[in-house]
Amino acid sequence: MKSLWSAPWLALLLPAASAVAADVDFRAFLEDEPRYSFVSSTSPYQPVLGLMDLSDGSNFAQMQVRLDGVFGPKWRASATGALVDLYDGSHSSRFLTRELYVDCSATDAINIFAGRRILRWGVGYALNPTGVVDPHRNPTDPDDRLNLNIGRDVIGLDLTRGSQSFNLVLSQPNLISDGRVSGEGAQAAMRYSFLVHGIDAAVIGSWVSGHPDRAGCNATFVVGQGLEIHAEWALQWGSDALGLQPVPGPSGDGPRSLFARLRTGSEHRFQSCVAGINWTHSNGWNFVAEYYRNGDGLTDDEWNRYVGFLDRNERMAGQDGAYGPPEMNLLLSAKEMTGGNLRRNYAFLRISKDPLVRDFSVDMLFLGSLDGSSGGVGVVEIYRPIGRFLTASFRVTQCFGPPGSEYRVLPVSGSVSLGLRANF
Amino acid sequence: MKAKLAVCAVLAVASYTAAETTPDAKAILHRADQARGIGDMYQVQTKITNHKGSDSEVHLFQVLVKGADKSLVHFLDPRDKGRSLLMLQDDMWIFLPNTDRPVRITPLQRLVGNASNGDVARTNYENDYASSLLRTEEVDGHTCYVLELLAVRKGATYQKIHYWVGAEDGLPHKADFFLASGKCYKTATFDRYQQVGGSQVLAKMTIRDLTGSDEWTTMEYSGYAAGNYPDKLFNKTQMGK
Repeated sequence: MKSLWSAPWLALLLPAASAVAADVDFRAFLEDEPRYSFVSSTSPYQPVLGLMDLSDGSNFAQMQVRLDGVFGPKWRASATGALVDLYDGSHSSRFLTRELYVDCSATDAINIFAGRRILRWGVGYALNPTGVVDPHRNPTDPDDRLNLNIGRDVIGLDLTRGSQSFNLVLSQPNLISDGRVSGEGAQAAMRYSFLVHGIDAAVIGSWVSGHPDRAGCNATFVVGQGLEIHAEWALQWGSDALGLQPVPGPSGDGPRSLFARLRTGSEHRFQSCVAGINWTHSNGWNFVAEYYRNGDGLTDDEWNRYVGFLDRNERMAGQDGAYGPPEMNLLLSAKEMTGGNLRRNYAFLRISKDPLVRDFSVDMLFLGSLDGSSGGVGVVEIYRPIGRFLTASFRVTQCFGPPGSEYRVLPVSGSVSLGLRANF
Repeated sequence: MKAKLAVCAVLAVASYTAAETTPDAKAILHRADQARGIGDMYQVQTKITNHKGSDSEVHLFQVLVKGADKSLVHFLDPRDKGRSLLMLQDDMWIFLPNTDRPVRITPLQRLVGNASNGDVARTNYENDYASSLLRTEEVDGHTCYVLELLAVRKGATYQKIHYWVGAEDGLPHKADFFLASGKCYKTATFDRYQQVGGSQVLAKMTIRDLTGSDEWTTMEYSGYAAGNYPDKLFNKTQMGK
């Protein structure tokens, strides 16, 4: 299966699809992004023992192609693949199949689809407790600006009637964004969404073998001409949170700390929620603010134990040099810790204007942990379209907080990148 | 008895004359809306050109319309391809290919340049505004009824519009758009019409910013085609599919 997904199928698919499809839509882009990272020598992730080989300078390049084919009145297929290359002294290339699925419009109200597909059920801008089928997302890059999110392998059913819809998917759980599967087993998830008196709401449920079940709801509402309000709430049975647990050492040589589930037993119930606004001023400035509460996040004690562990153990070190500091943090978090966010309370703020001055647009993000030893990440991105096909971007990220805080323990404290994307 | 009949006859003639000389604002608006589309279900290509000084920027859209309150806008530019905007009555969502989900947006979030989302997605004023006839006025050689349109739905793009509709041709010729404060901040001229299926339909309009900038936006319409679209096409969970 893996070799199928990894195959460079696009070269074969393009002529084949063109030959049999009634209508083929083609999108592609080429992108190059040189980046300078500020490596933190004091980070507990830092390779005292040489596990992580972070370099200051790197270059990320990718070519991404999307094909959408319509085959008669009922059938449609979509494929999105990316060839990505990271150069940080040596080249590391790989092919990602972001999506590859077939969709059958059985009737005017019923769609059935199968394959790899990106689904998103959350309504929060950056944080989504009800995003039970969403790709792992990075709150400091909610728009997935490099288009690196990967879909999950699903079979799905959509029933629509007016503004109501019922969606059912069977899938593999927890597909991490670099294409590696972190979870075993299967997931069934359903959503019923409806629009009543301007309230766009959904009820969501998810059952995952070997992982906590989750149910929740979300809603959005618009007030006046410029204010959107959104909220999500989810209840989770059991916990996936990993943390350090003291266990007896071999031969009675004292307790050792090992990573294990912190809170075992399905009798534990955890609530998580997000509440936010999206406000646009008549002069074009846009503000998004969100508060996120993760009941299954690490407490201060659990976090301090984790940081202490990092100080003396290099096991947490990863190899994802393709990602910047916030990305690295959240991916490491996702892989190694909870499958989501690390701590319990977060605030998110985004201020943007498109355009700000002439053709230049600006996007400023802030993600902060509100727990003890709090810290945050700030991101400023300026971008400018050049002609009809090119977009240039300049992005700065900076982590801050007291020593030992969530973002100061990262091996990279900030980065500067300059990107150029050509769309076709 | 004869006197009573005479009075009734005079009143009837007077009321008939008054009805003939004071046309119904709603009927004028209804007729003007006919020139903004080709029926109940159709699609049209919209080309928006933003001008600022000597610079200009072009954006292409495909707009699908079903009834008075459902529209779906596909972005066709290479840079924005894959984006779409759904408008259902008062509610709007934008689908961004990067985020792969519909995002609820507000009427103030603009599509491009001086064109509001509603300028592209919504061309039917009759359902969104209460109309009244202000006066009759000449615009570019056309005798026009000047209508005042006041928003009656929260999804209406503007709070107030002054709308110049030709008395003879029934076509829109000019519009002034007002903020809630009463300030006029945009003006539009309806520059050209085209024949589609025996009817006159809008081909080009120009929107000018009156807030002191040197920006203006032209919107050109082509490729009108009747269609038959299922409801699910206008369901937000199906956006981007």
